[in-house]
This record gives sequence, C-alpha cells and structure tokens, in this order.
Amino acid sequence: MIEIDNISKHYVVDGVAIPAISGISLRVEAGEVFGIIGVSGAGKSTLVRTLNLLERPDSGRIRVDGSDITTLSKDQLLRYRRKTGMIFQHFNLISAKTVGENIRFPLKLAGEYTRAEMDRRVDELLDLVELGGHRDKYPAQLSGGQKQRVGIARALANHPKLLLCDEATSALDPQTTQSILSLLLDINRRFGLTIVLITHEMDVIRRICDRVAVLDRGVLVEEGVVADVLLHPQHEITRALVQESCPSATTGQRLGLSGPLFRLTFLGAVTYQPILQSISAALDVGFNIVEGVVGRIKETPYGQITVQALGDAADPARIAAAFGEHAVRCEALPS
Amino acid sequence: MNASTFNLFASLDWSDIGMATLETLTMVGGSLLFTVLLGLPLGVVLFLTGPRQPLEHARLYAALSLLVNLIRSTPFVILLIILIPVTVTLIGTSIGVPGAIPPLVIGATPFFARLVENVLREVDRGIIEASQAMGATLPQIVFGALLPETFPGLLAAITVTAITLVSYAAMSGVIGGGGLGDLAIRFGYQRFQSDVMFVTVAVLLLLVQALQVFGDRLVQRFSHK
Ligand SMILES: Nc1ncnc2c1ncn2[C@@H]1O[C@H](COP(=O)(O)OP(=O)(O)OP(=O)(O)O)[C@@H](O)[C@H]1O
Ligand SMILES: [Mg+2]
Repeated sequence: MIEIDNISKHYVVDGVAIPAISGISLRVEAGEVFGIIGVSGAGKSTLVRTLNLLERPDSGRIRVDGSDITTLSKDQLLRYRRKTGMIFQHFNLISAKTVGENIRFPLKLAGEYTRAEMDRRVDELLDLVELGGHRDKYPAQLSGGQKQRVGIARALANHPKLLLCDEATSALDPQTTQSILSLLLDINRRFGLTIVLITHEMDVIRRICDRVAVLDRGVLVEEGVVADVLLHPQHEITRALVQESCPSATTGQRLGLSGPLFRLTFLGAVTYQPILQSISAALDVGFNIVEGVVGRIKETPYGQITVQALGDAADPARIAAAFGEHAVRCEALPS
Repeated sequence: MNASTFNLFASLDWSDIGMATLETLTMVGGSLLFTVLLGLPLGVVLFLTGPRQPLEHARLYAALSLLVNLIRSTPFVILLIILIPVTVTLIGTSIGVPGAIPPLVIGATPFFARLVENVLREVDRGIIEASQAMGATLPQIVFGALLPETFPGLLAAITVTAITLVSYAAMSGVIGGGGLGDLAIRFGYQRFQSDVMFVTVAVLLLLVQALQVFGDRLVQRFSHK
C-alpha cells in the first residue's frame, strides 16, 4: 500500500521556479491497478517518478507499506528500487545487450543469484512475456511491442511488489497497446502486483485500471473508481479527457434537439437487459436514442446513452424514478 | 639523365625502413595502450561530472575541462619540447622509442578523453534512468550499462586516437623520437633524400589506412543499433 502525503516538487529553469506537482495526496491499495491521467505537462511523470525517488519531492511523505521512502538510506533505497519495477515509454533497453542479457541485468545488480538461477529466471520471464525464442536477439531486431515485453520482463525480474509504468503504451499502435495492457492486467492478477500507471489516454484507464486520479497543472483535481470518474466526470479537464474517448452529449442544444433529454447510465449486468423497452411500455413513453456508447470498463459492462422522451406522459420525475428502480442512473439534461 | 632517375629507390635501405616502421608501430601501440588506460577513466569522469549528469560537479568539471583544453590547444611539437624534462624524470631518457611514449600519451589522453565524453553523452538518458530505477549503483551503471552500450563508439574513438598517434609519433622524430618520422627527418629532410621521404609517407598512409579499415570492421562487428 502506498500513501502519498502532500508532496510537491518544482524545477528551476533559467532561475525561475516551475512547480511540477503541488500538494498531492493519494492512496494506492495493494494489488490494485491505479491510473494517473492528465494532459501533457500535467506532472504525471514527475509524480510517478517520485514513487521510486527518481525525483525526490521537495516536501511531503511517501509511505510504502508503512515506511517513508524519502528517509531511506542510500543502501535501503537501492534495495527498495530493486523491489520496484519500472517500464518506460521508450523502453530504455540497452541496445548492446541481447534480450536475455537485458533481463539478466537487474538480477546481476541484486547479486543474490547464481548463474544457473539467473538463467532459469530469464527463461521463466521470457515465457511469461511470450518471447520464448527471442533470447539471443538484440533490441534493434524487435518490434515496439516486443521491446516493451522485454521491458516488462526486466522490470519483473526481482519479483517486485510494485510496478510503475510511465506511458508504457504511448509509443505503440492500438493493437499492440491492447496486447501489452492485457499482459499487465494478467501480471497484476497472477502475482497480486500493484501497478501505478500514467497515461494521457482514457482508453488505457478504462481497459485495466481500478481507480484513477486526474492531474491538471500539477494539482490533483479528481480521484475515484474508474466507472464513477469515467461516467460522471466532475472536473472540466476530466470531462475533456473522457469526451476524447467516448463523446456524449451534455445539452440538447448541442444536438439541435428540443424536448426532454435524459442521460442514462447503465453499469454492470443491467447494461444487457431490455430496460429501456420495459420502461417505455410501463410508462407509455417513447424513447429516441440520440447518442451513446456501450462498452466495458475493465470487465464491467457499461452503457451511457442520451435519449429523447416522446409522448404526452413524458414526465421527467416519473421517468427518473422508473430508471432508478432498475439501478440505472438517469439525469435530465438541459435542453 | 642518369640512372638514378630511372631507379628512384636504388639507394634506399629497405631494412632501415622496416626497422623504422616497427619502431613506429611500437610507439603507437605502446602509447595507445596508456592513452586508453588513462583517457577512458578521465573521459568517464568528465561525463559523470558534466552538466545534468549523475555526479554533476561544476567546479571539478570546469577544472578538468580546462586541463584537457590546455593540452589540446598546445601544438604537439611544442608539447614535445616542453615535456622533455618530464620524460627524462619519468623514464631516464627523452629519445628513441621509450622517450617518445610519455609525450605521445600526454598529448593524446585529453583528446581521447574528450572523445569518450562525447560518446557517453550520446547515450539515451533513459538508459541511465532505467538502471537507476533498477537499483544500480553508479559503478554498476558505468560498467553494466554505459560502457557496454557505448562499446562500438569507444572502439571508433580508439581508432581515431590511434590514427592521431601515428601522426604524433611521426612528429616526435623532430626530437629524436625514432621510427618513420625520425627517418624522414634525418634522411629525407636533412640529407635531401626525397625517396626516403616519399616511402616514409607512403608507409604512414598505409598504416593509417589499415587502422581505419580495421577499426571500422571492429565497430561494425560490435554494433547492434
Ligand atoms: N527535468 C526537468 N527540468 C525542468 N522542468 C521539468 C523537468 N521535468 C519536468 N519538468 C516540467 O514539469 C512539468 C511537469 O512535467 P512532467 O514531465 O511531469 O509532465 P507529464 O504530465 O509527464 O507530461 P508528458 O505527458 O508530456 O510526459 C512540466 O511543466 C515540465 O516542463
Ligand atoms: Mg511524462
């Protein structure tokens, strides 16, 4: 478990102090996938890099499993880092070493393994990331996705409890991104590994995160369970980030429609039930679907649609109550 | 027209040339060895203490940098002469093959160190960061990541340095350093035997060419980018 307590960090550029993150407090539970999202320059990298002290915060505390990592001695910090994996946007592999040697590097650093143990662990890790036959290739001979797999294998070599991901899929095409995200989720489940990842893509958050924090100009503006933040974004920045990945109407005006508009949010099993139809029949109201998305947040199905209510019986209060009974959230939109 | 015009190299003593070539090779080889032994650590320290690097140290960097520039900006012939007393204290003589090696090493080390620094600077910062994130100590970063990553670049730097040493070694003939330069000056210049001069230059060219080809091959062999 990680408790980030009121940390700040600034950089000095040409004698001018530029705050990168300001007064951030967060809690990451053991075993969860925690996402941090924000636009470029929001301070995401700075924040995630404080978690292994690649950046030392100016103030505040970071407690991991109860002990404050900002007060660790040099040796303790090295040991902590060996138990904390990190993967990077540009993979950061050593091009002069083969895949196997790259993965072996952190094992050598630890200095706790015999040759045979290291060989065995490298093979195990190569199998885990499905690169069995690539042990003696050089990074230049691999695709981006394969390089990131090597990065993941290298990060997991010393059995870390925490994995930090700095835009791990941002340099990859959508299909490769999906396969890397699946791998991360698989690792998270299989080893109970805590993952903290940063991204500027809401899709990454939707796909594998349990909880998410939104960062804007170094400040934490929103935090919560992914479904809540995604379906009911509170902050303007969050809304903008959500809109990019699944646009939905906020006003009738935008759609050029009049008449009562409702936004319905389905989460979980209700998503696949014919609720719209049954309420339509019960209340004698027609629903015209004008916009919407149906998909999955991690494994949970969800739908968010905007409907126009048709008919004389279209009383907003009754409609909202009817959806409420089915555990479907219903908001009347300004028209 | 006399016969010697038709047989330009008639009066050449090829065994002299062979000896001189051997001496030059010894001077270049010996000084290259010490240059690398001294210049590599110096280059690594220059890199590490440089701006935004792991051991950033503005004053130490500035001091080392000044020393390097001082030696590099001194014409090698001048350096040769200035260093005569130093060489005599170091190895007891300032002439011949052994006498040439200290000034060659002192002249080439700053040059090589600067090349090493530049090669290291070309390394993606991400590699240092990834190593730090893995819990590598500074020596582990240098020996486990930086030097392996830059090995081809370092081989190229050694090649360039070796070639520079060939010309420095020839120059050391001015102060009686032995080898091809010495031969060229004693016979070719002082006794007007232009054939000796010509052959000496040809052998030097061959030497440089061979070093370049060999160095390039090595770089190619170890490059995996
Ligand atoms: N080493 C540095 N020196 C000076 N300023 C920095 C440094 N690193 C980051 N910054 C500044 O701190 C702020 C936050 O940067 P950070 O890299 O954390 O943002 P980010 O959210 O990761 O952005 P991106 O998505 O572009 O990677 C930015 O204004 C950036 O310019
Ligand atoms: Mg970043």
